[in-house]
Amino acid sequence: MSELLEQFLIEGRELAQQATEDLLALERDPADAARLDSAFRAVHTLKGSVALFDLQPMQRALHAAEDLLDAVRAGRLGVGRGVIDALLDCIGASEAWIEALARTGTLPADAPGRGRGLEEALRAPLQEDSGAQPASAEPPSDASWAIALAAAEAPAVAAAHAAGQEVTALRYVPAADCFFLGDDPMALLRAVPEMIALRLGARQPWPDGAAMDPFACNLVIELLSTAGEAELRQAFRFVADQIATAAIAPSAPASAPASASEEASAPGGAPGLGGRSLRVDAARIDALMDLVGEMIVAKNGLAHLVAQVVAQLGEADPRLARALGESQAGIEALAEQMHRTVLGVRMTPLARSFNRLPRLVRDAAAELGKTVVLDIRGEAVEADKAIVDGLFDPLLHLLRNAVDHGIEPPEARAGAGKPAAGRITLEARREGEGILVEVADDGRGIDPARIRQAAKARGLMPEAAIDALGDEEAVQLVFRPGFSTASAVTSLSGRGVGMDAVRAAVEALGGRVSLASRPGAGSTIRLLLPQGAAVTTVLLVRLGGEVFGLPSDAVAETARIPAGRILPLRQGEAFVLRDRTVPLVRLSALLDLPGTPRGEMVRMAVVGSGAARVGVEVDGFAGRADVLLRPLPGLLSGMPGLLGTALMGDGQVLMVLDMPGLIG
Amino acid sequence: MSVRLDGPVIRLEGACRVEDAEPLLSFLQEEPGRVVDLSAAGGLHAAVVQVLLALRPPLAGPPGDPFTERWLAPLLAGPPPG
Amino acid sequence: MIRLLVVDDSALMRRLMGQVFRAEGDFEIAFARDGAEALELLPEFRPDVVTLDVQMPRMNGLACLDRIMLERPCPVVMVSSVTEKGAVETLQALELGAVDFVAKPGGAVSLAMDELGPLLVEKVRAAAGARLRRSLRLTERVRLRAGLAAAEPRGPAVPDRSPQQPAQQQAPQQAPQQALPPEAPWPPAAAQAFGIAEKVVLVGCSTGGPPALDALLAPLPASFPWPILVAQHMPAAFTGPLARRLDKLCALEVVEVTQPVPLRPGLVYVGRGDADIILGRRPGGLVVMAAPSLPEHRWHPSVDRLVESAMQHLPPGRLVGVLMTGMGNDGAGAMARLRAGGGRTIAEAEETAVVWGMPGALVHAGGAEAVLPLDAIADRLMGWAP
Repeated sequence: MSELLEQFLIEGRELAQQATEDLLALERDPADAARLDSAFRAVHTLKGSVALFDLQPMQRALHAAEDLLDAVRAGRLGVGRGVIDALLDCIGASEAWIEALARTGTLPADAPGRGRGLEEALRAPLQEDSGAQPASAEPPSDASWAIALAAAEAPAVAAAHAAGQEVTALRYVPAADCFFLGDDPMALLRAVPEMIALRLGARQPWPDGAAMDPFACNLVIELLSTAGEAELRQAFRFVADQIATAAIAPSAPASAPASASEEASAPGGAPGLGGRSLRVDAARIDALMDLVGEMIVAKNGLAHLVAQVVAQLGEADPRLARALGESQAGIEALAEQMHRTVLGVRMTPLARSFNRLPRLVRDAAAELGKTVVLDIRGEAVEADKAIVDGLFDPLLHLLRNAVDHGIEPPEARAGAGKPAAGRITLEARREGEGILVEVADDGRGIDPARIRQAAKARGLMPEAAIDALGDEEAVQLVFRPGFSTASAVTSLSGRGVGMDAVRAAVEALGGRVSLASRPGAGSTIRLLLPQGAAVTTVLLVRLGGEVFGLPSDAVAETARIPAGRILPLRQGEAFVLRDRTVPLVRLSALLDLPGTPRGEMVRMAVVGSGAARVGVEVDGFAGRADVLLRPLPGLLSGMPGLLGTALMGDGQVLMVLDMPGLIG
Repeated sequence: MSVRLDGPVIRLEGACRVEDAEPLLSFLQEEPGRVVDLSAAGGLHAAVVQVLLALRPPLAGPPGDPFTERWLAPLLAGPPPG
Repeated sequence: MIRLLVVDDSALMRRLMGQVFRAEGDFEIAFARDGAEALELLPEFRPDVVTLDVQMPRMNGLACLDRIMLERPCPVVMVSSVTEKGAVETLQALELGAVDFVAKPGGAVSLAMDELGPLLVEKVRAAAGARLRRSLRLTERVRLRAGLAAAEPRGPAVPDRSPQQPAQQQAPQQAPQQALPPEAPWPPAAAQAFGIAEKVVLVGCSTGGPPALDALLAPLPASFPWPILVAQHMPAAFTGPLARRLDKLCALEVVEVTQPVPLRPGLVYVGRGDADIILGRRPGGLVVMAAPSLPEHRWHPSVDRLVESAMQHLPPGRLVGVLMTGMGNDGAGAMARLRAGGGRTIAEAEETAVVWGMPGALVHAGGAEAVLPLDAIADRLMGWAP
């Protein structure tokens, strides 16, 4: 079995499982937009994967399912029982087909029929809704056409029967846009075996010439053949969904009408041995974090509104006001709790990162003919998931370094009076607001002289400066880019640029790294890390239809003043704030956007401090948010005024503005 | 060109492809009563057949193509089936 | 080596695309499973071109594209699903700065990967060499997003719409630098022979076309006297949303041609994707219709076929050809013949074209009467019109 197919099977099973869960959840709660979205994506992805193999029935059914879900998402259709059933049937069939593929490499023989049935069931709600004509007109469910055809061509039929041949009738209604797909029904007709009669008609009355579209197929084709039903169907296999056949029995009108052989969906077999590979979807936790963050903002907005309402309502209907206040307080408490819990969900024990290290260290040591004991402590200490995950690579590198360069070969250790087995300690503990992770070894330590020499050789600093460094400082030079003391690149430590990469990785997590060493006795590397991911608080402001973020640190205060109190000042405007005159600029002007007309009240964020304060006029405020800010790389000076971007809970990208840069 | 106007006659020559349906329709529309000559025509695409079926122009000459002669000519010449 | 970053949440698609591009031999490929990973990789991997799935979990394709265009702009080819929503989002992505798109296999015409593969490679190569459309100023970015959010309804015919013009018309602010050839006078003979100064404008474009069409069509007033036919290379599912989108932005009425419609001024006719757009003659006059694709033309709707079809029914002197951004050379041959026959032609200038394939070919064939930056073409057409 090809690797591709294997991959498809794994992914397909998961997607089907996902879709099933989503659909069941959607059935319980039809308003669950997230589930609807997830179901759509699962079906969409599955359909995309199926399209890469030649599995027509499955693909067509999934395509119909996708269209149905799309209609629901667009609000054109409700999530009724019928819709869910049809979708679940389709997923169930998909699962069965996946297992069939796993066992035999092909779809079961009944797949085309089953697929057609699924497709019709899936498209039915759409057609009822929109009244759209299906692209392929469905053959009449009874065989009256065959009877009429046999009657009209009675002589030919009689002659065939007299010669002992069986007669089959076929009705072919090509899809209206079949020409655009490259089909030529006439070419098919030329290839029909043993045709004995042909009739051509129109699906809809022929329009008069001027209105006629020569490229819209309006033909209805009916024919008789003595070739036998199976052979006849074979000739039309590529348009199987556009034909109907019927056997013409001798001396009796058409026998059992066989419409495009439709089988009721056979109950899906057990999904089979379907292995389940579980991917831990970290993205969900992050999405949850973002959503909770947004919820906090919304909850704050609600609190504000409720306070206003209670103030107005308090006398008119004290009971309602109290009830409202209590309800809001309840929501507030829940939101806070959820926030804490989600933050807690992201907190993971460091063991997650530490677990794989002992084995890797053992292997590394064995490869070099050394014995190393790795002692891990404090693995239960927790930190934010991003930090825990981000630590694995630098730690691995440090450990490999220690094994490779730190720990001496057994003979050297013996000569130095050390135990034969090298000892490396990996310890984590809380330190103040953060976490300290130490990697210590009892190896040969780092020789400052060698470091100085190497630094000079690489021209990292002027030689005099290097000499001027104390021993401890000199040792820190290993963190410089371009530094490596490895005389040969070993397979373990790679290119030996290690320490710079470690420093960068740790700093990217918001931490710091330092190194202490005693020549002959060993080295200790200390990583000091924050507990939680670095988060920026931004003030959200509205402008035009957009929302922007201003870093809270940059905003001294927000203000609302009556428009009448804005005064012209030189080329611009100003206002008085606590007896100081503060210039006022419009954010719309800074961003070169058309400004909206001023209302009675002017809203602004005051940025800067002291004499350098400036009021920045905005259309409104939208609360605060804690966001993970993605700073722009410093080299991208093409975007002055933009500090970075953040992803909001609703998937929108928030631009966080650099006020000093904008104001200039 | 597979579809050619020759005086009052529209001549179909060689195999007629899907795009030939348009000039055929255009010529027939322009001047109702024009005759369509199939004697030099090869296989006809369904779109071409469709135009002939819808407009029922008078046909000239026995069709050059056997399939057309046996199966299509009777359908295109006689009165529309019931 | 072309550095390609493939962003797709389907492991299977990632693998397949990896195979397709590795087989080419000159691609260095990295993969990301979602938008967040893609953004992580951008600064280290520094791709020359990115393929981006439109629909992905968590950060969808549009948000990721937006951030790429903000943080580290580079050519992006969207990989789109063939649904209505997917088509609308794809067009939005083109507005946000994506260079081109490819429709994923699936749908009524199911393309196997061996069909899709070569097209994908071709588009990615073209994109890697494409010019990113607009400058990176924050203000332009903001206006672009504001323009996207507001779907402007088509109001009463207003000749000058400048205050509300979306950002995509603000290409470099300076006036066109080109030394322009002196304008040829109208061929007086043609005008007299037919009595009416009525012309038809034929527009062709491909990669980077949709935003170029915005820039071309939005400034034209509802009273613009010549019907405009557009052949934009595109799959079938996308031309409907494209036409609807343009209809909202333009004073002219914009329709997708799926069946014969009479040709008349005041309309823009957008050819249906995966098919060709041609003219036909009926007793009442000319009609515009969709015709099944012919295999002799590589791209559909075919610009060459549109122009040839127009020249069958109208003398070249009554035709105006406009060839804008796009890879390949579709339309160059036919429009060169158009010009040779007395018609007028405009090629988009290299400095504004996302890919200067088609217009460049027209210029090299000597078939371009005027070579203009994008934002000057509408003005020139209005200048030529009575």
